[in-house]
This record gives sequence, C-alpha cells and structure tokens, in this order.
Amino acid sequence: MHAAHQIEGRWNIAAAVAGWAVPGLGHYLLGQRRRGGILLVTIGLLWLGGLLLGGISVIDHREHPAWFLGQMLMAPSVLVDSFHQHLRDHAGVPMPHSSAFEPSFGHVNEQGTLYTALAGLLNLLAVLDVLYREADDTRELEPQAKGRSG
Amino acid sequence: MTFMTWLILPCCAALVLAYRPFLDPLPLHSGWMWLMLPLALAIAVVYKTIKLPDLSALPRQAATLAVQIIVFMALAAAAVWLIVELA
Repeated sequence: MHAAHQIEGRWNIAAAVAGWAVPGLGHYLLGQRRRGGILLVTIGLLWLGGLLLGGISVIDHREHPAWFLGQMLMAPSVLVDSFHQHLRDHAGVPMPHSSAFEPSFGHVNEQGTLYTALAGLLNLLAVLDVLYREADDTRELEPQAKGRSG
Repeated sequence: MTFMTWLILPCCAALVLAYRPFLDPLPLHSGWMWLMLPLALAIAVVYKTIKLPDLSALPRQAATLAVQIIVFMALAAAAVWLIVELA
C-alpha cells in the first residue's frame, strides 16, 4: 500500500547525452520543445559569442586545463579543441608566428574563455535537469502548469 | 567626405577583409566590461528556462533576474573597491 503512494522518478540517460552533444536537445527529446529551443539559442549564442570574441585559442586543454573542464561540458568544445590542437601541431612554425590562427591575449582571451566555460556550465544545469525527472514534474505540462515561479 | 575619410576607408576595408571569424580574436581591448551584460542575461534566461513551469513568464522573470545579477555584481565591485581604497 505504501509502495503504491511512492513517487518514482525516472532516469533519462539518452536525453542527457543528447543534451551534452547539443544544448537543449535533451529537453526536445523529452517533449519540451520550446524549452529546448530556448536553451539551444541561449547557450549556443553564448558559446559562439565566446569563440567569436577570442577565436578558437580560447578552448585549449593544454594551456588552460581547468577552464577546459567547464568548456567540455558542451560536446562541441571538445571538437573545437581538437581542431585547435590540430592547427597548432601542424602549423610548422611556433604558434605566435603561424598564420593558421591568431591567438588571443588579455581581456579578449579572458572574456572568450569565460563565455565558453560559462556556456558549458549552463549546459551542465540543462543536462542535470533532463537526467533525472520526478514523476510529478509539473513542467511536463508546459501550457497548463501554474503556481511554481522558480 | 573629407580627404582623411577617403584615406582611412581602404585601410579599414583591408582590416575587415583580413579578419577571419573564429580564427582571429575581435579587437575589443576597451569596453570589455560591457560584455558582462549578455553574460548576466544568458545566466538568467537559462536558469529561468529550467526552473519556470510556465514559459510565458520567462521574459519578465529573466529580465528581473538579469538586473538583480548586474546590480549585485556592481555593489560587490564597489564594496571591494572601497576595501582596497580604504585599506
């Protein structure tokens, strides 16, 4: 009898992995399309903004391993890092003198790194949100849900 | 247009053409503090998108949270600046 009243949550591992690969995709797969779309646009723009500010040199697991821990919480950062390392290793000449890409310095590098790392950390929030859902999660019924105000 | 404008325009065009998005950094060495604003807005939008049961309230709630973040960061910066100046 007691067991019948227990509220069981559910794990959404595939949706969480999808959310890591593409921000908001986890929510989209769970049926929350509008929520997923907003997450994709917001986190995606923040990440792209960081890359636009500082260039691909802001994602660098060799030079900034601690920042990379935050950045890698979004799968595209891992791809950009491998592309960056590929360009650096195959540049032929030491990096500041290569024309493959221009490394950023100072505030521009700081802001680009901060934007991309924060995008990863915000994506972690989104991934954790889809990873485990309580059975009585009112957000499943987006148009009807009322009362909670975050 | 003045003579100087005609002189400068080709140089600016050459600089823009040389810029490669995502490979080269943007030349934003001044005014970088304004970049805090989209950062605060993104944090507010993502947090409220995850928390709110009804997304119709999202714009107002996210704007309120973004303003709160910016105001408290400015207050924290002012407090730290005062401590540094007075110490």
